[in-house]
Amino acid sequence: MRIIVTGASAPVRQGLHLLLSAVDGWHVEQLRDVDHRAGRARLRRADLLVLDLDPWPNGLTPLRRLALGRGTPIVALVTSATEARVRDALRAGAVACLAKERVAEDLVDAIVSATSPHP
Amino acid sequence: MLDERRLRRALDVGQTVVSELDLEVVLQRVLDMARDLTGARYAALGILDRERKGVERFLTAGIEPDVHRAIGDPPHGRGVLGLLIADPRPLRLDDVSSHPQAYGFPVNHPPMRSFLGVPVLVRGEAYGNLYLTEKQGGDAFDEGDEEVMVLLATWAGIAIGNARAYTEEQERRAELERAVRALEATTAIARAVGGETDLDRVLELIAKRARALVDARDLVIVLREGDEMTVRAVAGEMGRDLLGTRLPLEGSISGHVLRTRRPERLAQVSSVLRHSLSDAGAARTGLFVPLVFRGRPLGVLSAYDHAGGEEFTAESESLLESFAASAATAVATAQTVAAEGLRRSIDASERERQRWARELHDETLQQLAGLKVLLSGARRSDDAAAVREALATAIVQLDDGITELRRLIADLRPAALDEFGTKVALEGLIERVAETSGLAIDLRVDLDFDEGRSEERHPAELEDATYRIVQEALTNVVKHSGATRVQVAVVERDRRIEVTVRDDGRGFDVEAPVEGFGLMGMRERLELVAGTFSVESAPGEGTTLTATLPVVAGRPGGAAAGDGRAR
Repeated sequence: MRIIVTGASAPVRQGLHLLLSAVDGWHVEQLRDVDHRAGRARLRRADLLVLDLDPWPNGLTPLRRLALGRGTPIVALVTSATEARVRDALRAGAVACLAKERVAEDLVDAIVSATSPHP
Repeated sequence: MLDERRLRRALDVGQTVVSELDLEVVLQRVLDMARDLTGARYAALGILDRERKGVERFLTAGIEPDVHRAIGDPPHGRGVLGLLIADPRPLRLDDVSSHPQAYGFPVNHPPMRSFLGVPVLVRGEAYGNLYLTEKQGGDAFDEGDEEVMVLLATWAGIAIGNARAYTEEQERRAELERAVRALEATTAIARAVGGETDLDRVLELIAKRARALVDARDLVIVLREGDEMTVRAVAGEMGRDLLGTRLPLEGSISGHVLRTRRPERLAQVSSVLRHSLSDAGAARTGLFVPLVFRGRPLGVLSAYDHAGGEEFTAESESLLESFAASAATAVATAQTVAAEGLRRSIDASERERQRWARELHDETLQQLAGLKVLLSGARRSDDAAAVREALATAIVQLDDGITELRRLIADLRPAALDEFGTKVALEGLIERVAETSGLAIDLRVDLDFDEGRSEERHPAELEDATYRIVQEALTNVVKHSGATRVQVAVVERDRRIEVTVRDDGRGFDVEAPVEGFGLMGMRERLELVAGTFSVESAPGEGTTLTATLPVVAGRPGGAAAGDGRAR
């Protein structure tokens, strides 16, 4: 599975890359700028996107745009997973929204769930 | 017939009588003159009541006080005396007791035979009757006696009229003077308070003025605060340590006055009060007047002991009541301003807290969350090189976080401001802003304390406000101006601190309807220290912000005079 992690924070991208690369069969790439031409090409090949929405609410705009594309599932990450923020992220097109502090515990399961065919 | 000697004497008497303005003196003098002119042993003046049907007062001459007491009640105007009331014409009798309408004399009354009565008219209306009895030598009163008495009664009528007019005039004058004093009392507080809106200062002025107005040894102002009352101002000999003393509404005279909204005058304060401030000053008498504004009792003015030693009079009560009506308006106004100031202060604090919460979330919390993601990934990785790289990134991230936290803490309350004062704190601020923004910033600080012209630092609130104004102005420059150079001047002159921040940025239209949050925050911060500010700008011409902060001992932020810190 090809996963692209993207967002404004380099340490977050780096950490996500390390975390998800540890899963067998997952190929993970970092993408700093989703609007870059080369970036768009890589996005088209991805099976799933992990998008850091911080600094809130800056990530909502690219999330909406990416969600309108070819239907690649997007898992959103936020620092404070308040009910309002999670709701905003889901309405913007994310299939899941996680707090960053729960990434180590929940992100892999969230990705598996998001990419599994629904019964 | 009236001989020339008695006519002259009657004329002299007339002059003497009409020149007198004291009514009681006039009446007594008429009686004495009547006896003198006619040789009567006894003279009396019966003053008619309002209906002119009976005698209201009965004044006598020639009867000793002990005889008076022995006779008892004065006559009421019946019998022979009543004849003149019913028919006000002179009446002469050889033997009064033989007249068919005579009632006879009461026990212990001296014997009286001859009688002469004449009516006294004042401005054409019956005033009373002049009675003479017992002409010396046992003779009856003759026609000459009657003529001279009619003449004297005429003089008496004029004199009584004059004296009454004079008395009425005096009373009107006294009434007018009371009205003027009451008016002065009400305007005095308005003049004294002027534009003052600081509640403590207003109460202090009211206490001093009220004390002087009723000449009290002490004057205390208590204000209602919830279910209690608190001493908020003291003038006179009672010590300021009374300030803050709480009194219950129940069982205290102030509470009673507050509830009834009626003034009280007490001759023996300590015997009446269970909860009294009088103990503090061993007060004897008291005058308590409520402060009522639009039907709402705010507190009580309590005056203790008249300086002259006597009790407070009804006039003092009336004066203090008039004064209290005006004072209550000043107190209510100051209370409103204080509440509004507190509300603004709370609002400003709330916005400040929100800003810090936002900054902490957007900066520090996000950095920590990112760090956790990074380290969580590193822990799962088997790639040693990648882990080392992640640790290096984490250390950089930590350094950035520490720097950011330090900036936030410095913004919250720069340590230098407490420790070294405004100048050093501003120098540190300028250095930080210049470093992070790349702006070229010139700073000029000329404050009395820093330049050695004063031994005392300004109150903390004023130092803080000065620092914050510069800080917020620079934040605006960095965010909005696009400037490359900024000049900051903080100069103290004539008990004012003037802050000027001038940039060479793009400027803006000051007439534009929307005021940015930064300017609004500065305006509110300045209002809290009674300061003002103005902005000069135009598109393409940079911006100059000028803020003026008054240096009034103990005033900025309501701090006490003693808050100024010495070197």
